[in-house]
Amino acid sequence: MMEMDKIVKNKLINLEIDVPDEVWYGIQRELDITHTKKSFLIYRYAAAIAAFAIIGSTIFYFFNKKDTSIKQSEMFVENTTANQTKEKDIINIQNKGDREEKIFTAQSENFTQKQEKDLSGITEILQNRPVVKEIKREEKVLLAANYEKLNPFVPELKRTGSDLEIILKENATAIPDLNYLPDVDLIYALNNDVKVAKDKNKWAVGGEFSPLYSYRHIASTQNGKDAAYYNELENPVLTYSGGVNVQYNALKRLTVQTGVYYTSIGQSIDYVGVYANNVYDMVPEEYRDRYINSYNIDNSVGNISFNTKYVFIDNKSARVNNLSDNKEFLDINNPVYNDLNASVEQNLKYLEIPVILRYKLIDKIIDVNIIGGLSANFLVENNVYLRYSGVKEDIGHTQGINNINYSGNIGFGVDYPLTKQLNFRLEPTFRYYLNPVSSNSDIDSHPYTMGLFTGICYSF
Amino acid sequence: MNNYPDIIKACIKGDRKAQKQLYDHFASKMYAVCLRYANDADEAKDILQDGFIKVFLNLKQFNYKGSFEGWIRRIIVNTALEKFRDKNYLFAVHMERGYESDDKEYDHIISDLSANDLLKLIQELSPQYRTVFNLYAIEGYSHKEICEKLDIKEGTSKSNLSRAREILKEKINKHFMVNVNCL
Repeated sequence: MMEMDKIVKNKLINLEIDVPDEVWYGIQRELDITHTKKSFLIYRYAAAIAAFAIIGSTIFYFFNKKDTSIKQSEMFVENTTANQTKEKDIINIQNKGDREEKIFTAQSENFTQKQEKDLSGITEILQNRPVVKEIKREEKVLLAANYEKLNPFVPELKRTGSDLEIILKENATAIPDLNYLPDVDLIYALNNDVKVAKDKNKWAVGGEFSPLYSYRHIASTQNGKDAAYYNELENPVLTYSGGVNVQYNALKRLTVQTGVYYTSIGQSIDYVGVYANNVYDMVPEEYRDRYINSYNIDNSVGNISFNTKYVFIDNKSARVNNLSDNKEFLDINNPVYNDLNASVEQNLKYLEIPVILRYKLIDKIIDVNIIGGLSANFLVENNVYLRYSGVKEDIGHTQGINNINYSGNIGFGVDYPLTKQLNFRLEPTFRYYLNPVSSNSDIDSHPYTMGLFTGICYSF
Repeated sequence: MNNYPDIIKACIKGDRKAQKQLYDHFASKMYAVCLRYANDADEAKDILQDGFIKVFLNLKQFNYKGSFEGWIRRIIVNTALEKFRDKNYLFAVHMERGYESDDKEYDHIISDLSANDLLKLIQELSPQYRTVFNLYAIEGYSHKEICEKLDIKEGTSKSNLSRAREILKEKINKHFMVNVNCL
């Protein structure tokens, strides 16, 4: 060892640097997950044993534990001297699973002032050996050369190094498996030429659902009626959204997510009186057409046009127009008319394809994320419903609704690990439709929703 | 931490206070180890976290006869190597050059550097050079052991070490504005 090495060693061997608290939180979380997993396994085994006891008299049921594939390794560390500053250890690794033995010599450092060097034995359980793939050696050499060039000493240029690091991460794939000792895995690795462990937990799939508070924002009007006019006559409705998603951990804290969601939005149109014309049901069927009227209801999202046996009037304004020739004179005191106390609800259903970026603000037992992204919303249903006495009747559609709308999504959320791979997710999210919902309306109306998405996500 | 056997036993039982006590005792030193191997602080934190999880999950395997700190350190170092191998950081860079002679002038300069400055210099090395330098100069592994650990040839390990030293000297020159020839 050169003098330079000794100086460096003396300066750094006992160096202590304060550790950020987040590391301990991460350790706690992983230990909790491991404990949960073990508990789950215990219950599973108990259930298996119970089943075995019940039917064991007739059927021998062998519960096939995963542990049968566990490979045990044993390390025996034998120190040759007790008082040398550096001692040789003989490490014998016997991999029973693979029926192979390998012996190599390792030097272990005397890191403590106290020399406690005796025999030490380590028994290790191996699980889930990483899947390996080959990387061309030429590629590695090239990457190494580039790294040195792009990683200059000048601190300002560190970002360049980070860029390269990202490139390396993209080319690499790994998150270490925590269930085996690296020493033992090293032997496994040495026996497999060039190897890169397969990525773990880079991908995740999940499902989410949320009730939505749905309404619209009127940006401008060109028909002489302002937003306040419509806000007084219309109200938000409670809808829903749900779907499946797939996400990819692009960076340590950044996740890209897409998926398919089925989203329902809408609003209610209030102060519209709806009456059943009892004559319609009383006259022979061939005459009923005479009691069908064509209506048009003006609203902030677009005109609703429909044909119906019901009679519509506007109780507060002049939004309802009867377009039929046989305009009916409504006398609410006439017993042929029955007030339904109904409400009119516009409803638009979209297939939503979002591209969401999720950034992990807090990486602890419960992760806290902020999310943002864009969605393409493809109109799949356009309905207007009449609701009364538990009845939901489709009476028409809103004219001029765009087939594709784009929305911006922002929100934040928390992820709580149920198991090592399964997370529970809670995400309050706000979505705002970037373009007007209707193409041929005088009103520039942008729907928006607020939802509390809950779901699970399975990482692999 | 003289009562570490008791703490270890408590940790094995899942006593979170004992785990925290053990962690608090070794974390700062092990974090410095991680920083020597990592590209940045985030990576060092990852290594430290993964390493300590392994420590806690494998405490049963410790037989109280060797150095406990040494045992932890080996796990931390191996975790770092494993992470870099997984990330494809560790690949053979064989430089056909001779092994340099000892350069006494730099020894004085390095002696005057603070540990933190020295740590920063080492962090600036490429992963391969940094790893070989750490394993050889600080952890005390032989070239034979290093070549086994990193799946490289012994000559490559030597040349990487040599190159690491040269780069360190270049960086000292550049960063600390030292004209060695004038010394």
